[in-house]
Amino acid sequence: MREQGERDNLYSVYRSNEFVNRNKEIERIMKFLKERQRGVIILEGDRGSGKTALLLELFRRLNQMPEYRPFFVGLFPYSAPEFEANPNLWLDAHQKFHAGQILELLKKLAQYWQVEIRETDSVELQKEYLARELSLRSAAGVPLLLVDSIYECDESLRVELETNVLMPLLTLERVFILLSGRGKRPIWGRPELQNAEIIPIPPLHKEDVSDQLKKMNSPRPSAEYEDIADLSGGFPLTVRVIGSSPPEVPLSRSLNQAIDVLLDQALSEEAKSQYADIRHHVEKMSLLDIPFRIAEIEDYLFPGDPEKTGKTDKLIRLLLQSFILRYEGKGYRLNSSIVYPIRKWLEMSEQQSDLRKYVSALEQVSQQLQERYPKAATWYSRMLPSVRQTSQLN
Amino acid sequence: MSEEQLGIRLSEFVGRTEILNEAEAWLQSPDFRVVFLDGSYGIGKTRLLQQVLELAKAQSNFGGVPNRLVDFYHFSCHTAEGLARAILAAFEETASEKYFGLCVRSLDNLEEARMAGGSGKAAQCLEDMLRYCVEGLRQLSEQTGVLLLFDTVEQYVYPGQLGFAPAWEWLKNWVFTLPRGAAIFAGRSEGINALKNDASGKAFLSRSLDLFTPEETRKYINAVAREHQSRTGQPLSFLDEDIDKLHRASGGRPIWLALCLQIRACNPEAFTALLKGQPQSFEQGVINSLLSVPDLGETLKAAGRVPRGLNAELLAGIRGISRREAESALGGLGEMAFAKTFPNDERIFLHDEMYILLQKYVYSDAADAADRASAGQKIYRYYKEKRKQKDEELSRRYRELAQPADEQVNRSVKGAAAALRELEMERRRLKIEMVYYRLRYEICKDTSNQDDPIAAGLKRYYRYAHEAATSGDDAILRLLQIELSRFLAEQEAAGFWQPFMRGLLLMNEFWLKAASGQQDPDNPSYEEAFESLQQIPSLDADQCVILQALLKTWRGTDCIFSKSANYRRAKELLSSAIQELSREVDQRLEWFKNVVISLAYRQLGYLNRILGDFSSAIVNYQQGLRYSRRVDFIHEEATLRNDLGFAQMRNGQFVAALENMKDGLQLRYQIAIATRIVLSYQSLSQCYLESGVYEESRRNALSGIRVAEAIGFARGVAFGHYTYAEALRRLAFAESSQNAADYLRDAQEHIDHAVRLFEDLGEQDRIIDSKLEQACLYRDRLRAADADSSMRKSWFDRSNKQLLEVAKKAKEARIAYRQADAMCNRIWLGYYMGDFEFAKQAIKDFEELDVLKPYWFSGGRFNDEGKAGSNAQLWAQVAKFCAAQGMIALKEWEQAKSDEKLRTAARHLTLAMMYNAKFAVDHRGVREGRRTIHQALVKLNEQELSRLCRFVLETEQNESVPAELCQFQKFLQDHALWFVDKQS
Repeated sequence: MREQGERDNLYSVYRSNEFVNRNKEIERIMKFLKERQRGVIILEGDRGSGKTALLLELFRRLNQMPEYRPFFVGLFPYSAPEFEANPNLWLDAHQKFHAGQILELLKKLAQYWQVEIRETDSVELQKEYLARELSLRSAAGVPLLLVDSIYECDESLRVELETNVLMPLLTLERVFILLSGRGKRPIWGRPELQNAEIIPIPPLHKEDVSDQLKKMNSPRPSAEYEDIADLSGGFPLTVRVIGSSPPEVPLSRSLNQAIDVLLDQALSEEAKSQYADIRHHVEKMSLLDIPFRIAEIEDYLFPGDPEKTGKTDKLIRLLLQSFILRYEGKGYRLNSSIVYPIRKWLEMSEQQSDLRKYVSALEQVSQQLQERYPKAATWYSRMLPSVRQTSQLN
Repeated sequence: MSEEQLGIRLSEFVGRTEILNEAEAWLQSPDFRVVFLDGSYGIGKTRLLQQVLELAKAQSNFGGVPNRLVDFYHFSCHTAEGLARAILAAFEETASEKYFGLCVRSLDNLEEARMAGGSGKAAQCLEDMLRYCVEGLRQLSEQTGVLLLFDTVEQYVYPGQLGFAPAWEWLKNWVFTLPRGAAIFAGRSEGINALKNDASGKAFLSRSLDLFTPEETRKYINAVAREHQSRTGQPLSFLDEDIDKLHRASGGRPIWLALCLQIRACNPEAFTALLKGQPQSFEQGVINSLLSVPDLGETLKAAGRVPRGLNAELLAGIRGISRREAESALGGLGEMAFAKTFPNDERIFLHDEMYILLQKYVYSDAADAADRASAGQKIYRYYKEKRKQKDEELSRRYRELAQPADEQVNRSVKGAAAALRELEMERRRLKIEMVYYRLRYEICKDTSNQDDPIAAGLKRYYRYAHEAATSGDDAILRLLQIELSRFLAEQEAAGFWQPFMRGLLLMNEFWLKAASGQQDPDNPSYEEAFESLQQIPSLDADQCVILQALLKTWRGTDCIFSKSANYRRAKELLSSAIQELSREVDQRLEWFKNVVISLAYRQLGYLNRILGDFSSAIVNYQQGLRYSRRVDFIHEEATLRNDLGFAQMRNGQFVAALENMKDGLQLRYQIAIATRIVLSYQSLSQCYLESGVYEESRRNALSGIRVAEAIGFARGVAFGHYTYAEALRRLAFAESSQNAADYLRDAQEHIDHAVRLFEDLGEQDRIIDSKLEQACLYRDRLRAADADSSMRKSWFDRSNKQLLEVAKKAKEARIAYRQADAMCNRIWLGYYMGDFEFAKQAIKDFEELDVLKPYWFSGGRFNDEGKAGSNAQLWAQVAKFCAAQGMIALKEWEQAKSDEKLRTAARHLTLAMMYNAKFAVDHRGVREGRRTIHQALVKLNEQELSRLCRFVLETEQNESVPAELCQFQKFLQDHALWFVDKQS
């Protein structure tokens, strides 16, 4: 079961003291800022890889550098208590940013960047004024805008933000924009956006995981740190969720919770409304060892259902929309950031019966496919090798 | 346009200025130019043609501008007829439409002729249509200039040794000779070159389309940006560096440019990765990116599997989604630069290159097995269902026509024709597409059964070709041939079926002739075909036997139906086919063996039927049915059943005949082929007539007439009126005589109409039948006229004259029973006129007929019963003859009251009933005689009857009438007229 409130707290409050080793990335970003007059940086990584944390960490550091005037915009609800008093932060712990707030944002930006602009009710005019005034601005400090999770928001909002906030800023001679996000990046309307500096955010190393657990004062015994590093695959969000659980909670339950968090972050609104079903099917799909096409998994996912094709088709659409699936040559493949923790979780002793059930169903489907399509038998025999190993191990 | 959809079609046209300037000059000049425009895939040929079209529309002094291109992608354009239709459609609703009035009319006639079943008329209409199409174009060209734009013309060049699409022969004959304007053929280089070679010696221009220069790429991308801005209000710009990358990635090929933009829009990393990759991984990358787009991916995958077009219903079926979802998904696909749509066509096609890419990267992979099978299953189901729907819809409409609420013969049914034709054409398209998919997709009908799609596709091909050949649908035959030829050319490895396909294709010419009523057993192609069969490499012995038998069967059929009918040769060929097939064959060929042997038996049955040997015909039909049962071929089974019934009817087995005919009718409704339905009603009507159920006969004749009229089936209409007339004539005397005159007047109208129609059709045997009926009607009008009417003599003369004419014609045509029928009716004519002298002369004339020799009875036996049995109809004629003599004697006895006359009467009547029983217990000719006899006998008193009965016994004894044939005695007993003292 989902434990909404508890889970929300786990990833909706940012604390910089938990931040661990991203020195390489920070160094690269700082170098970019130092060497260029203007430009766009995009932090990119899977869900739970720590993009927001890094962006906020950058924000924290930039605040201490007088040559920059950073302004942070969070588009999704979470809080960062240590910055609560900052005037250069747009963050709402309770609701998402919406297009109607752009006018206000523009005014806040003007205020913070110390330019006087005529106030209007028109975003169109307001952005013009802001751009013009900023270009004539004499105050010290390069304007620097940090926008978190810009690719996860609705396309229309993203376009509004680009048009009315990013584009006007990019007309300046001195300006930096730092964005974070995953998933697909659209083609950009401005060359600066097209040619952004992409900074990938990889998972953490084992030692960094331990470091994170220590920094967050995890109640989990240190003997478990290695297991947590393994189970989390080095994703700071997963580490955080597991690490915050009380020691009496089994690791399996914590990991389960982390998976919910990951999926919840990934799924589109439409997909979220069918969360339980999707979670169930994603679990089953994560066991497939080869890319798959609809016809070979419909029986596995919806056995005996006359509408299996349509249901699988719909599921695929939702997962593609949520960017946790993509087509890779031979078929669809789930994103490894989802597959990894789910497989780890299924392999834990509590889920053994489910795992066995899934594996046996998959074996059956694989067998049927091999019989039915002798020419493709080799391919279909590969549907579950690693899982077979897993089940044998257990 | 969202940013994800930069790959959508661009409305602005970019580049190609040189060629556009040239095109403008062509349109301005007083000459005509044929231009071959070549370019590799995706280079923008179609887009250029569209631009030329726009350009032409803007020229005020140039008139003949179509509203669309003619795209050779559609196989329907590969026949001359299909191409002419496409040209008509291209000029539809343009100012030039009027030039094609005659062509459109001929097309209507052609469709009518087709609906009305196979005859030479369709062939004539087709010829007219093609001629008028060219004439229309020529006039248009002369007066205002004409522009013809042909796209995807490489499709006209068939793979392997197959040559060109059949339409090319027609097209190249006239296209180079038009006076003013231009015809532009755009296609891939290899196709264009082949066409150019074939057109060598003719004047034409050649132009090539090159890849975009970097400058053109820049213009294109900037145009995309402008379009994006104008549609969404969002500004969009590209870095020079990016434009360079896009140019390099796309190789300057517009289709790739559109795809790259799409990918750049959806997935910049994929784009970056693509740029670094090799061509193969670049293509794979494009496919991966497209297939990762939610909804679009699966829609594209589905579209690639159905190159004959994807509509919402089919998409919904393949993906298992709702119709509404499918409509929206299809709309999205239709927006893409690589999708093709056509006016008035809801289906979406893909750019050729996209089909090739999907084939290469998605469908040819072993990993596609399950997905492919699943899609194939759904495609099959869709077509099967659609086909069934069309059958049911047609069937429903035919039923409504056949059995309307109010029984008005003349109520207009013509209005139904257009809708029926539309449905028939739809069904034709479905059939062709079904063959296309069946050949390519494995279908799992039963989990244990491995499907052989080629075998199944070939069966379907054969079925439809056979149906078309026997129901006069030449159009579908031409398209089927193209389908199979192209499929054959696609086959890389020989395999089991490849040589068999080659053999089957040899049949097409003969099927086409049969469908257009031009059968010719002496067609030299037959010999060539037999020879070609021997030369097909790796043709298996069993395959060879089956194909040979197939050729023989159709040649035998041609011997029966051609103008110079040769029945002996037909029998030889058909018997030989049957004999050769009476052996074990490879399991895979069993179906074909059965279907050929069944047909051979049916045609042999038909042959025996026309030769009057109904018993043999019945046996042949029964054999044929046995084989057709094994192949589940309703079309054949229906015909066999009906024909079996017909033979049984002619043989006097009315109960079985009716049952078989009714079954046949229901089967024909199931497959909903109108001409066949009409013929079934005709058979039923005849059978009811022969068995005396006149009301039913009339009702069925009427049903047949209504359907026949709706589809313009003149032969069916004529048949209907013919039978309807006879039913009325019989009713006139079967019911109270008050209405007789009315019935007869009505019957006269129908029979006159039938005679006229048959004369128009020129069918000799039917003219004889209908004229005989007309003669009988004149005679019966005499019967119904008042004794003192001055008309009696006039009816008498007309009837006699016509009967003599019919007898003569029947003799010439060697239709013995009709000759005898006519001659016998002259006796009855004399009887009803009361002119016994005339009657006695007629009796003599009748007795002299050579054909009757085997039937004469003396000393307890017939002259040659074996020979007589072969034409059962003649028994009935002799029976009618005896009955007439008996009645004349009875009349004479009434006047003279001499025992001698009564004895003569008793003798003839005894023999009449004996002959009748040889044919059928209840035959219409004698049935009415029975009524007349009964009416005459009830007037006799007890003594007279007693004497008559004694004479009957005497005759039976003297003539040694076999006990089972002593039917007159039984008749008298049945009517309580038997007054014989047992002791005496």
